[in-house]
Amino acid sequence: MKYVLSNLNINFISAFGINSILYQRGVYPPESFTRTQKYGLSLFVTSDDELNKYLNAVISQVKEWLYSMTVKKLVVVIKDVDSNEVLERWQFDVENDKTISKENGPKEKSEKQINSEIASVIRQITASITFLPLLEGPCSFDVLVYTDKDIDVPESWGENGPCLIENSEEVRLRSFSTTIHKVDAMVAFKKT
Amino acid sequence: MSDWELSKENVQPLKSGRRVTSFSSDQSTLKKEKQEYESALRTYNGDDPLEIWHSYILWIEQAYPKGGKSGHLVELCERCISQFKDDERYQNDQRYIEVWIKYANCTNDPHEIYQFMYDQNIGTKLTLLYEAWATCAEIAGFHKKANAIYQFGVENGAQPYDLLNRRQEEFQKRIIRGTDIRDAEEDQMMDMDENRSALGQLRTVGKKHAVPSVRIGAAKQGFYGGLGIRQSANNQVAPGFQVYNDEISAPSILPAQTGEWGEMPHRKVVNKENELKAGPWTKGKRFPTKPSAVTVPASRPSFSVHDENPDDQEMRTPMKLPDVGKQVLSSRKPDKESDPLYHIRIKDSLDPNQKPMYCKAKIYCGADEFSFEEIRAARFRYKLRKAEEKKRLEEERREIEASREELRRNQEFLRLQAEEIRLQSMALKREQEAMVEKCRQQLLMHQEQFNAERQMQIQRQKEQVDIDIQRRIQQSEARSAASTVNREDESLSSLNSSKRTPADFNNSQSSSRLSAPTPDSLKRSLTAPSPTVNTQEAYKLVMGMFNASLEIDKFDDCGRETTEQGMPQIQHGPEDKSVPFTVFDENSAQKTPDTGPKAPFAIYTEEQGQPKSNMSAKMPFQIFDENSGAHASNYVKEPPVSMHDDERMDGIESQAGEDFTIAPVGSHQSFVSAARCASTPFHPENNSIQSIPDISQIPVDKTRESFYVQNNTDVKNLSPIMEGSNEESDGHATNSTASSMASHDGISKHSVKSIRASHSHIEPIPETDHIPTSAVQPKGAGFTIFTDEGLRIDNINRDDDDVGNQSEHVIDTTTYIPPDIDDKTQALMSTSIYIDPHDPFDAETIQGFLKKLTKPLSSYSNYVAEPMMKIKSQESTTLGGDLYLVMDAVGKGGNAKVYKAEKMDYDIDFTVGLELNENYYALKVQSPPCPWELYICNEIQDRLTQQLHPGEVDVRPSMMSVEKGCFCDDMSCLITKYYSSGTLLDFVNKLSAHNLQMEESIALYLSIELMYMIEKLHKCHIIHGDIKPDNFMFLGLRPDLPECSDVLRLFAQCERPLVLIDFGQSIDMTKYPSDTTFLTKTDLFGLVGTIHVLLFKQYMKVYQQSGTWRITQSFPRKWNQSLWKKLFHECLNVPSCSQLPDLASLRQEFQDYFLTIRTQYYACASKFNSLAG
Repeated sequence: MKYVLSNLNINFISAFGINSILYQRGVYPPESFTRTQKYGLSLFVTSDDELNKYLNAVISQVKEWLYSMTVKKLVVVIKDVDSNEVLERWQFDVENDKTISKENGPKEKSEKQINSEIASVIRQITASITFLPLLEGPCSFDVLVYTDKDIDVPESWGENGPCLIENSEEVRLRSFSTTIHKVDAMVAFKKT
Repeated sequence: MSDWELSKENVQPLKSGRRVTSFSSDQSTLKKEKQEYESALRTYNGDDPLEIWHSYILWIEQAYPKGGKSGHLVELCERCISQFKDDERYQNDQRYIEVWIKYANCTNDPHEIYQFMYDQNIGTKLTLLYEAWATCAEIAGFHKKANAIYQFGVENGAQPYDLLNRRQEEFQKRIIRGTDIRDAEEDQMMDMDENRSALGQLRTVGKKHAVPSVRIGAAKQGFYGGLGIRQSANNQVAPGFQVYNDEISAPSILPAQTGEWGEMPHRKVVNKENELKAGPWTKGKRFPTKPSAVTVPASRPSFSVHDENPDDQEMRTPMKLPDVGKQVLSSRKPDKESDPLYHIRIKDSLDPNQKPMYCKAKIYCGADEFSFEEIRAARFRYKLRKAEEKKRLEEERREIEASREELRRNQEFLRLQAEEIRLQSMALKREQEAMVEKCRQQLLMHQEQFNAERQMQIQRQKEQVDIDIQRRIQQSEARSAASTVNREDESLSSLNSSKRTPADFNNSQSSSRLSAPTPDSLKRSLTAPSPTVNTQEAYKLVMGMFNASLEIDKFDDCGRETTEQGMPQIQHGPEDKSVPFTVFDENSAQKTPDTGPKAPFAIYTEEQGQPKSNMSAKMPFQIFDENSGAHASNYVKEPPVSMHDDERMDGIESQAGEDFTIAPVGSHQSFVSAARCASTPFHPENNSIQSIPDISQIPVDKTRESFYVQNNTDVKNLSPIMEGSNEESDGHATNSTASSMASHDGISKHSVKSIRASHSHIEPIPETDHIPTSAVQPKGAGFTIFTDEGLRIDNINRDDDDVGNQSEHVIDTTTYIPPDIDDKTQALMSTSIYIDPHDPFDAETIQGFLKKLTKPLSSYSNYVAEPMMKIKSQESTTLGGDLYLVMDAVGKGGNAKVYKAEKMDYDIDFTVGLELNENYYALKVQSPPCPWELYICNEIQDRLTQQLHPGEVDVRPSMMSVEKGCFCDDMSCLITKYYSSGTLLDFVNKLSAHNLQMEESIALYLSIELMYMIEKLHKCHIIHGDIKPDNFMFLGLRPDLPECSDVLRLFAQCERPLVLIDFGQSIDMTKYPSDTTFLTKTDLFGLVGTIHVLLFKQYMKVYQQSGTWRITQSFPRKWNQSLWKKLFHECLNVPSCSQLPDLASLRQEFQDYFLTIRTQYYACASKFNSLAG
C-alpha cells in the first residue's frame, strides 16, 4: 500500500509533471509527444529517446531519495539557451511526513482522492499558459533537487545554485498529498 | 484565483504574461481604476502625455483578460495613435510603437498598418516594428516578404540591432526547419499515417487567413521556438536550397518608402472596387400600386369614420422613454463596421468651417465619454491634489528651514564662543604688551640713571680736562705767554666736535627740528668718557635693528659725511650712520632743550611735553605724533587697535587729516619698493654702495610691509616712520652683532617688542614681498635693481631656523628659478620666505571680512564643511561626497600642497569618462584652512559675470574657479580643475630646452591675453598680489583663431590660452574704504615681469637711468621695439597710485599690431603648441 501511494507521487513529479511542463511550455516541439491517459486526463509524454533517457536517469535517482524521504524540493527550471537566463521556475515543495514510522503506518487516503488532487494540479499547469509570458527563442530545462545535506550524491549530479529569478512574479498552484508526502506546487516567472 | 484553471479558454494569452491577480479583480474596483485613468487622460498637463495612454492601454490589457470589446482596447489604441501621429517626440518611441502593434493585431489587415507605419517613418528605427511586421508576414506565409522586412530593419539601423539580428536568424532557422519537415514528409510519400498534432501551428489560406481543413503535411507551419529534435537528426544534410535574401528583389516585395502616403489605409479606400456603396433607399424603384382594373364605386361605409379636426388636435411629438437602468452618458458603442483607421481619417477631414465650442476632444478622449461636469470634477480634483502636494512640499521645506535655522543658531553660538576666546586672547596680548611696556620703562629708567651718571662722568672729565688745561696753561705760561689762549681754544673745540650730533648738520633746514645723532657719532662721543663696551654695543645693535628698514632719508648728505666704518661686515648697517632720527613735534618744538651734545636722541610727545633726552638712546626711531586720536580712529578696522594707546611707542607718523594713502607716492624711488615686493633679490655687488635714493619715503621694510601709511604732505624734512625689524628672534641682529648679542638680549628684545606693537596698526598690506635672502645673492638671479647713484642694500640674511616661530605663510621660491641657474643658487633660492602674520592676510583680519560678508561663505554652492582625512598621495579620499583617488603631489608650498587626483565617478558612462583629463582634479590642501581663496575665486567669477558685456572678451575661463572647497577645523582643500599642460614657466623652459626663440606674434598674443586678465581683474577690484609666470597655467595656444579683421571679435571668440591660479594672497579692494589706494602696480610689475620672462626667458633686471627705470634686456631688432618699450616703460614707471597706466589702451595698441602680423601667428602657433604639449 505504502509503495503504491508513493509511486503515484513519484510518477506525478517525474513522468507527468515534468512532461506536462515541457509540452505546455513548448520546450520541445509538440510533435515529439504522444498522448496517454492518466489521472482521468489525457497527458502528453515525450516520445523522444534522448529525452526519455535523461528523464529516466533523473527519476530513478529522485525515486530513491523520495523513498528515503530526503527530498525537500524538486525544481524544473526553464532557461533561455542563448543568454542562459532563467525564465521560469517550477517548484514542487515536498513535505515529508517524518512522523510516520513503521509502527504508526501511513495515513488513510484513498487512491481516488489522491488522483483527483493530482489531476487538478496538472490542469493548473495546463491553464498556466493564460498568464505565463511567451517563451521566445529556444529554451532548455534543468531539474534541480533539494535534498538533505548529508546525502550521497552520484557523480552525474552536480551542485548548482538555486536558479532564482529576480523580480519575479510567483503563482502558487494547488497542492496535493499522498499518504506520506505533501507536495506544494508553485511557478515563478519574470515580471514584465 | 481558485478557478482560473477552469476557464482558460476565456483568457487571451499575452506575450508578456499576465498578472494572476487580474483574473479575480472585481468589477467595482475595475471601474474605479478605469475612471482614474480616464480622468488622468483629461487632466494631464506634463510633457509626456503618451505615458498615461501607454499605461492605460497596458492596464486595460491586464484588467480585461477576455480581450475583445469589453475593454475598448481597439478604440483606445486608435485614439492614442491618431493623437500622437504627428508628434516628433514619439516617432520612434518604444511605447508608441507598442500601441501601434497592438492596434495592428486587432485589425483584420495588420500588414496594411505596418506598411503605413513604414511609409510614415513611424518606428522605423526600432526593431519592434520589423519584428511584428515580419511575424505578421510569416504567419501569412509570405516568407520572402518577411525576410525582406528584416532586411529593411537592418538597412534602417533599427535598434536594438542584436535583437533584430537574432530574430532574423531565428526566422531563417524556422524556414529551414519547415522546409525540412516538408521535404522529409514528401520523401516518405506520406505513407506514414500522420496524426494531426494538437496545438501545432498551421498555415493560413486565403484572404481571411482561414486554416485549411487538411491539417497535416504542408499545412503545418514551422515550429516556433523551442529546441528542434528533428533538426538534430538532419544536421548532416546540407540544405539544398537558399534562403531568399536578395536586395534587388526587395522593392518588388515592399514598396519604397515614400512618405507620401498621407491617408491611412482603410478598407473602404483599399477595397472600393469591390464594395457596393450604400445608396439612399429613395432611389430604389417603387413599383406603383396599380389601380385595380375594376373600380368599385365608393360606397358609404356603414360606420362613420372619425375625422379629426386638425384644429383641435394637439400636436404631439413621440416621446422617447428613457432607458431604464442605463446611464445617460453610457460607454460608447464601438463602431460596428470597423474601418481600422476611420477616426484618424475623419480627424483629418474635419470640416474647417466647424469649430466645436466645447472641449470635444476631451469629452471623447478615452474609451469612455465624459460629461462636462465630470471633466470639471476631474480638473478640480487634479488641482486639489496638486495643491495638497504643494502644501506637503511647503511643509517639508519649512521643516528643513527650521532645522537649518537651528543649525545656524548653533553656529552663531559657536561663533560667539570663538569671539569670546579671541577677546580673551586679545586681553592677554594687551597684558603682555603692558608688561613689555613696563619693562621698557624700567629699562629707560636704568638708562636715565646711566645717562645721568655718564653726564656726571663727562662733567667730571671735562672738569679734569679743564684742570689739566689750566695746569698746562700754567705750565706753558711759564714757557710762553703768547700762545696760551690759542691752544686752549683748539683743544676745546676738538673735544666738542667729537660730540657733535647730526642736528648740527641739519640746523640749516629747520631750527625747530631736532635730529638725533647717528650711532656713529654717538660712538665717538662715547669714546671719551669710556663707557662700557657693552653699552656701546647695545646702542649699535638697537640702532641697527631699527634702522635696518630705513632705506632712504633726507639726510643722506650727512650720511655721506660720516665714515663708512663698519659697513662691509654689517649688511644693514649702513643706515646706522646715514639715517639720523628726527623727532619732530610741532607743539613742543620751542621747548627743545639743548640735548644735542649730550643725548643722542630726543623724543617729544604731546602729552608729556617734556624732553626725555635720556631715553632717546633707546628710541632710535622718530616719533611724530601730531594727532594721536585721529589716526587711532582711522585704524579701527584692525584688531590690535589697542596698540595705539601707547603713544610713545607709536611708530606711525600720522597727519591730522583723514587722507591716507597706503602706498608710496611720487617719485620713481617708490618703485624700489615695488620691485622688492615682487621678490627681488638684490645684487650683491651693490652692497657696498651706501647712498640712498632721494625720495620722501620708501616703504620697504625688510620683510613685512610693502604698503606704508605715509605722510604725503610737503614736510620735507620729516623722515617717515620706519618700521623696524619685527621678529623677536631677529635674524639680522644675529647677523650683524652676533658676538655681542647675548649680553644685550634684554634690551633688544624689549625694544623690538614695543616696535612690534606699533607696527601692528598699519593698514592692511598685501604681503607680496619676497625679499630674499642672503647677502651672497649670485649675479643674474632674480630681479636686480641698479641705481645710477648706487644702491643701498638692506638685504637681510635670514636664517630659516630663526624665524620658525612665525610660520604663518610661506611662499616657495623654488619655482622661480630661471633655467640658467646653477645648483648653489637654487639651494639659496629655494628657501622659503615667511610672511608676517599681522598683515591683512592674518587670520583674524580675513576672518573679520568673511564674517561680514553679505553672502556668507557657507552659502556658496561649492562650500563644503566636513571633516576630512589627511590627504596622502596614492590613496583615495572622500571630499564633498565624491571619491577621489589622490595621485602625486604636483606642487608644494609652506603650508599648502597641491595634489593631482582622479575623481572616481561611478555614475558616469565610462566610455565618456575616459576622455582626456575630464576626471582629473587638483586638490590644494592647506593647513590651517584658507577660506579666503575660495571667497576670492567665487567673487571673481561673480563680478566678472556682472561686468560681462556681450561681444567682449570673457576672461572667466581664465580665472581659476573652485569646483568645491572643503573645510574643516584644521585644514582646507580646494578642488579645482587639473591642467595637465603645465605653467607658463614650464612652457618657457621647454622653449629654451628646444633652443627656440620666442616669436613676436606669439609673445604678442600671450601678452594681450595677460593684459586682458589683469585689466579685468582690477576692474573687479581685486588685486592678485602674486603675479608670476608660474601662477599661470598654460593651456596651449589656439592655432584656430578665427580669421577675422575685427580685433575684439578675434579675441572674444577664441578660447583662453591661460588660466590664472593661486588667489591666496589676493586683496579684495571693496573691503576697504573707497579712499584707500592700493598698490595695484604690484600686479603691473608682476605683469611685465611675466612678459619679460616670456620674451627673454630670464627674470627681469631693471636699472635706473636719468630718473626712469629700464630693463637690462633689449628687444630683438625686428620687433616693434617702440611698442614693447612703451609697455615696460609705463608699467615700470608708475608715477603714483592714482595715475596708473591705462592698460586698456596699451592692450588696444598691442591688438592692433597683432592684427597686422597675425599671419605669423598662424604659421608658428601649432609648432609652439606641440612643444608645450
